[in-house]
Amino acid sequence: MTEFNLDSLPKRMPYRMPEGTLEQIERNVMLRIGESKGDGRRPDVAASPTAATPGGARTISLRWRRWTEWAVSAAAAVAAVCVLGLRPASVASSTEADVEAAFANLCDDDQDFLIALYQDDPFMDN
Amino acid sequence: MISDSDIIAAMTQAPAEGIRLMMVQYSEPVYWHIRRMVVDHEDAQDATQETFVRLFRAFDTRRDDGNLRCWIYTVATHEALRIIGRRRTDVVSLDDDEGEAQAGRIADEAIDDAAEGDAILLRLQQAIHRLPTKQQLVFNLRYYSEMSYDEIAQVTGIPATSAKASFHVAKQKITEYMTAHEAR
Repeated sequence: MTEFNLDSLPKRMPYRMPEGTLEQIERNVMLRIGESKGDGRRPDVAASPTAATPGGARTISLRWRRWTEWAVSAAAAVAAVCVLGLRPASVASSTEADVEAAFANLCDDDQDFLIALYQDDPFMDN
Repeated sequence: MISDSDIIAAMTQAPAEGIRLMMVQYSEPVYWHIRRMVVDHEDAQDATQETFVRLFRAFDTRRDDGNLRCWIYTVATHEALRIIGRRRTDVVSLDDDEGEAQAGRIADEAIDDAAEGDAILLRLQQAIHRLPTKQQLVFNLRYYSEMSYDEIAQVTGIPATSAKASFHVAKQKITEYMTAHEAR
């Protein structure tokens, strides 16, 4: 039996990208960043008037507080399950679904904050 | 050719122009990187779009000493894995077989008027999708995106030596699968 040689294959994909896909992606991205930030600029935390005020600082600490409360609640629930020895079959999938639902309910800024926090951890979902 | 430093400078001075330049340079490789993992075109398009929105919003949080390309691929990978993770949850709830579903997706996405030679490329995709997700990712980044092991380490968060080992294991498994299926 002849061994397959990977180097003998061209590195193209056997799928097709429909025409206009990249243009559509660019249009949609520009539309979304324009919609969410008015003039299309990112909010600059250092230069933002709200960040320089006590209100701005409160916004950041509230976001932290909300996140830490959520994380502590989730950890407490997991600990309770471990301590009580309860291992219902649906725990793993329902927890993932709950996290997805909770994430979807967050506002864009909070979602961005979590993404920024975990952007270097591509395996967190797996 | 737009350089990464041009993109970074534009993102800093005029973010909307910066993200446009980033898309000119990276939207196609990012789309294909995601599509290799998720297979389905619409999922790949959505995830590519979401990737650039995330990149735009999170640009200020990017590490200055990091490689821009690696950061872009990290966010893109996260989006692809999010789709795969969501599918697995759906599959668990439907009590279905994800391996079969992925094989079906690969067949569905095959070019309709595929040339004779494309059959082997489809089989290669099937071999890649039989690998564990991390090996798939490392294999794709090395083989298709031609990244160094250090860059793969930055994207995946695993050490470069592990990435190298992972690539060689993946290549070996693919070779075995392709050899066995070519003989049939």
